[in-house]
Amino acid sequence: MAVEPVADGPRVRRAAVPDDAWLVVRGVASIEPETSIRQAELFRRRFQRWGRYGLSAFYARSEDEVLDLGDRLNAFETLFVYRLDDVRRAGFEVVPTYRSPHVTITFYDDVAEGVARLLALAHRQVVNPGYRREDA
Amino acid sequence: MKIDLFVDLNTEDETGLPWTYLDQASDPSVVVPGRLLVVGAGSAVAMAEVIDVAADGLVHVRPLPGSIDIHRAAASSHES
Repeated sequence: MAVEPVADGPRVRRAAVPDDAWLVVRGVASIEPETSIRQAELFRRRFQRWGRYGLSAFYARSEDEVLDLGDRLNAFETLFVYRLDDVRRAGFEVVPTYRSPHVTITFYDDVAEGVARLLALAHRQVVNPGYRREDA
Repeated sequence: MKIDLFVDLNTEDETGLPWTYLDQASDPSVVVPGRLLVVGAGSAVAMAEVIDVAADGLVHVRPLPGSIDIHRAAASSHES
């Protein structure tokens, strides 16, 4: 289903996210609730008239595409991979924003509850082959 | 590791770059275009160049390839 472009929101692509897509979300470190909550709030602040919380993700349609995203997400040791259908069924809207394969996972409810709901969804974890370790 | 600027390195927008706001910096005065800062959240950090700072405080950064230590060492050798 295509999402209509919105005024005062992020640029929305005409092409819908394929129904069979996987969603690749940043890995262990930054998927901690505090970071996701903070980023979701910044998204809403930036697009306040759109009125949604949002988190960036990327979609992939094959294991190779999931692994290819590892370079892009090289700060993250692990990639979290969700089924698009599971995310939608949990009440999130997945909006194709900016350049493919970027998407924004959006929600309206309390920010902490929304993030907790996303983190509780079934997902698989993939070791990121592109991970660039930083030793503290 | 001390983070100069909170950035969710998963984000990107029309520019293709991660973004945040100026008030997410530990010291907003250092967030100026061209400056290299340690950005990120939690253990997901990177050295990044500040690309622009808009009037509303929106900041874009470009993460640099390679480790933070390598960039720090390079910066020190330029300064000495």
